Amino acid sequence: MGLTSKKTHPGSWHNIRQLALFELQRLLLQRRGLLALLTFALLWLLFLAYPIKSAAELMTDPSMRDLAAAIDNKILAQLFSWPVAELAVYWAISLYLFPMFCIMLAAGQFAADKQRGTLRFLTLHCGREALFFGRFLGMMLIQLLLLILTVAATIALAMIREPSLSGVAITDAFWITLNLLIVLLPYTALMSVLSLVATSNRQATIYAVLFFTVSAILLPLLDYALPLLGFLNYLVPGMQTDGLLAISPKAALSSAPLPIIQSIAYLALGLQLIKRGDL
Amino acid sequence: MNLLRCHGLSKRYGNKLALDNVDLTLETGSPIALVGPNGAGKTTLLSLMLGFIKPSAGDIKVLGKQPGSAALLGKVAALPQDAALDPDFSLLTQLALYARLHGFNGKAAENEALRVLALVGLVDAARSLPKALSHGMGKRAAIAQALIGAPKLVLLDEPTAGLDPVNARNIRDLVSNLAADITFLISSHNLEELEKLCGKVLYLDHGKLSQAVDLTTQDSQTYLTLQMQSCDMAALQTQLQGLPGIEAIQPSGKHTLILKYQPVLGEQLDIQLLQLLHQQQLQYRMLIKGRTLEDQLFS
Repeated sequence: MGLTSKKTHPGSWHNIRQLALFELQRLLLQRRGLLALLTFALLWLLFLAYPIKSAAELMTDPSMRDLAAAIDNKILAQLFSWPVAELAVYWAISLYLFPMFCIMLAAGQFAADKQRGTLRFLTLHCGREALFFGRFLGMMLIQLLLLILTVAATIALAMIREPSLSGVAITDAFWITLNLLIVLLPYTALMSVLSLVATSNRQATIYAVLFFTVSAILLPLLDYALPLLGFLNYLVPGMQTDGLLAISPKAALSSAPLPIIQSIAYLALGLQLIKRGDL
Repeated sequence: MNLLRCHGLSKRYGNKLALDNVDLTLETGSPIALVGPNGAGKTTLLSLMLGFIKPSAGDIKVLGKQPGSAALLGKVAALPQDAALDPDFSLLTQLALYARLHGFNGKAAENEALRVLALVGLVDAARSLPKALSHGMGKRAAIAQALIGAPKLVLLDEPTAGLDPVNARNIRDLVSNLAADITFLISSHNLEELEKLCGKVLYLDHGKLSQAVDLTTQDSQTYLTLQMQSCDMAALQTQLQGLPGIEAIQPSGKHTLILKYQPVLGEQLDIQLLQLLHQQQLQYRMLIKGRTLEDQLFS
């Protein structure tokens, strides 16, 4: 039999790591993954070259700063108070754009593989828990990589304008990356669930669009008609996002418990689905 | 060792009862065949054994454990039906991942992947993507993944369907060679193939286990199967009736007769039969002690 076959099967954590790294490999070493990465990079190049660069130039203009100060708006005041204007614009854009990328990216966690039967092969070699968390962790690693790349590019843009900002830029970049990663956790976990119930990656994306659209329409109505059901708002990933714009990235960490709890809830639901469902 | 134990096992898909109250106990050892018409419940039984699906009623234990449990990882492997490898990665990359999931590290994982690909004659295609493979090559690749590590039980669902004769034979040889270390449970429609490979045959029909034939203690003491070249079968049948110990002669197909005889009286029956054919200048194609699996199951 196996040349060096093992007597005991390795533990779940070992297999979670292997599967997560394999997902990273899918992005970095496969043609399809590299094409997606290239598209993402080009898109961000456009964001950096136009909205972020232009907005940062405006934000550093003293007359614009006076105008912003005259407008009594907490979000504007907070964004204009950032020492590195490029990162302020990046923060404002990323809080909304990255979740959208996340929905598209994480929709493919399970749906197509389940339909194709590839999950059957995988579950012959590792447990369903390891498969579930391995794919989730892989998706988070990919998003962390994308965050680091885009934040680094934004810092580089800021350095070109004002090299003396490097110290504060790196500190802010760390908090931005950490907070965005936390913001993305429940989106990714929700997509793990939707990807398990959908029959294709596209269908998982459609489910996500329906989930957020129906939530946006129904929850305010429910909140008005039945205030007792107000807690349902806490099920929607990103419900804290608007509030994050009005605080610094470091202070944004105080909002972390909600997305973390949402993630745990969605991961628990997804785990039950994959453990109890047919493959 | 107890390989499989099912008690009152049923599986329902909507209104259709795919498996109906199956009670079955199997021991490890020589390969076991699972046969039955399309829709008889063979794939359902294998899927239940692998934990892909859950039973609607009853219980099932494989190697003494619940199917799909962590305790069976590395012990139970399979060629599942209608499952495809990831189209984005080469065979080597995917099989090396599976090997890593079994605890092989780095180069050892790649070597293990190449070892199992060599077993099915696919080393040359190791760096190919699954979509570049023919149906038969894809099936062999799927068999290769089932052999990673040191499984104790391998379930093969239609392992040679769609394979060319040479590769089908290679797979049969592979199963024969590995049967000393691994118990194979093979679902197939190819009875001739199963007869060569297996010691026990289970026959499923309409979700029920209708027959279990033990080929190691088969009825070779009471039956002979004679397949003839083209001749007057009716006349031959009359002549054969005169041989000592013959109880009954049953035609099976155009040129085949199944002879039932009394073992005590018909001890030399095969020799006498050959002498008779020689005297009558009749050409035979095959003389089998016992009946073919097909005749045992369906006659």
